[in-house]
Amino acid sequence: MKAYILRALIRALITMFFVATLVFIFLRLSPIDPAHTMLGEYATPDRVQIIRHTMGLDRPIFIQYFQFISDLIKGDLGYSYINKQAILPQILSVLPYTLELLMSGIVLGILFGVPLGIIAALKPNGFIDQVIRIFTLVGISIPVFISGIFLIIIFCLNLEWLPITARHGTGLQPRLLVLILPSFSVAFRMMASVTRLMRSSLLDVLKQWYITTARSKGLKERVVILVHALRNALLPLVTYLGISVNILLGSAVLSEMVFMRPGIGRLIVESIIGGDFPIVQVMIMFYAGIVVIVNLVVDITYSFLDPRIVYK
Amino acid sequence: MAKVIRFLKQNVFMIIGIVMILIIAGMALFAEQIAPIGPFKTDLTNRFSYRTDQHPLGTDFFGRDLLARILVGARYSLFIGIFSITLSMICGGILGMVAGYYPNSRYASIIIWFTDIAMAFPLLILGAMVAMMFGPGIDNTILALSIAYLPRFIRFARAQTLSVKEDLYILAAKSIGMGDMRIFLIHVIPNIISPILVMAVIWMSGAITVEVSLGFLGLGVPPPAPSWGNILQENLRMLIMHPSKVLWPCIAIAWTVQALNMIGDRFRDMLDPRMRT
Repeated sequence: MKAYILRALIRALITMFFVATLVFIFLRLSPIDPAHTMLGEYATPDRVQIIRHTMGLDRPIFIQYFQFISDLIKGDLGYSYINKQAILPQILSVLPYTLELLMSGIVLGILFGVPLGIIAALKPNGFIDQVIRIFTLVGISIPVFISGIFLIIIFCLNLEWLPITARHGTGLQPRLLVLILPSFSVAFRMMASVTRLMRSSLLDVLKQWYITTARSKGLKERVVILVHALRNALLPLVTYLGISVNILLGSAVLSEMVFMRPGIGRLIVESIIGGDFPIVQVMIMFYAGIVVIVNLVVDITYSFLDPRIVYK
Repeated sequence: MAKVIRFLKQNVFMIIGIVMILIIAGMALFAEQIAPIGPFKTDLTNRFSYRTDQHPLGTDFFGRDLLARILVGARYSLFIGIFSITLSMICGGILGMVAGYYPNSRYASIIIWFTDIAMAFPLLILGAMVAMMFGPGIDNTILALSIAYLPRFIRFARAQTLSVKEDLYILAAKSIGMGDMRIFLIHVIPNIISPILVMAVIWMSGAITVEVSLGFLGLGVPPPAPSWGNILQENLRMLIMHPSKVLWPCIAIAWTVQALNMIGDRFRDMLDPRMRT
């Protein structure tokens, strides 16, 4: 097992390296010139040239690349072009906001999705099942920013139950209040997918022989479902959670834009638009690293949940 | 008659979806008749107005008719969605098919590695990066979306080809000496095309969502073009004062995406009842 983890981590590092190189190339190919963007209205050709020289953008590509790689190895993630501050502290300062959004999105998704899926599977094609099917159809389709806007209009403008942004400081309560709506808008899709997944997975499990055995032992139906069926039905869910990190990160970007929250997604989008290459490079590597690590965690969790799986 | 009723009952959602798409496509097609003022005519004396006879949905920040902008925006979104997915389907399908047919080749390993990395990124980020590389504009947006969806099509086509490859008729064709190209054209493609089309419809709703998101972020089709993302971005500043200006584009977007999903969902069930959720 340890050897497997070690190899997976090495693979992760190699992937991150390749991704960093690809991103480096892509960014340099882009028609956006960071010097031009920085200067904005004051961009005359000679000023642009001076700024490019200070940034080191007019050196040959290979030298830039070499500098980039050697900085990375030293652990120096570089400085942002736009605001000249070190990148890592910037990322770390907004990371908690995105993490809390993602975590609450996942929690809400599972909290609502699993019970709904179970209820839907108990009486397939019944009335409740149909209603839940409609809900999942809507939940899967509705884009994040649209559900966000709807939520804002309903809860902030019409009902005035919740604030849109944290105007009253950074205490715990405003922060939690501001978290509610964005988490729900991110979680809708998750809820719908989890419901569907649980429903189909549970339906498959309920056909198995061991469920019939459990019932014929005289166990209460509740025990049969919650103890025997659920444990096996949860396996595909774990895999799905790994895949969904990808989708959730994308949703987080839009949610942060709509609700004007600080966060990683916003950082990367604004950097892409502003031509802030160093931040984009670091963020992309970061994403690639997250995905690989999450996949690794999912694999390991799987092997705990299903003792038949053995990793060599 | 009973057969018709049974067909309707089974495919209720798909039919609703098709009707919804026809409605929005029809309205987009006849935008000039429905909202004759046009999406570009500004009227700064009349900004943010509410419903009037001339402006059924009111006007936006610059006094432009909102209904006209939404309907013409539908053209952009539908056009971009259809073309980008079609392009991606053709290129990804071919690449994936070849990768699946020769699974032990160097080419296949490179393709798999590339798709693995590309699929690690959220669609929006991938689309944004490619859109940045190419710059704004409708062609570049189509290209960006095609590239964003390419890995998915490659993966899917490869998976389908891998399973089709083991079928007996392929072996029979090879044993009579049929060349690979002919096998592709006559045997492989007709068998993998239906699942790929189904996924294309499902992913088209995602493509439209990504296109709107790109417009929302300022990438994609540049203003003053009334793409839905642009409309949202322009009017979002005034969300608190004039929520209806944001609400109507949202309804249009949700309508289209929902319709496509309903159709795609039913297609997927028809194709493979085992995948039914």
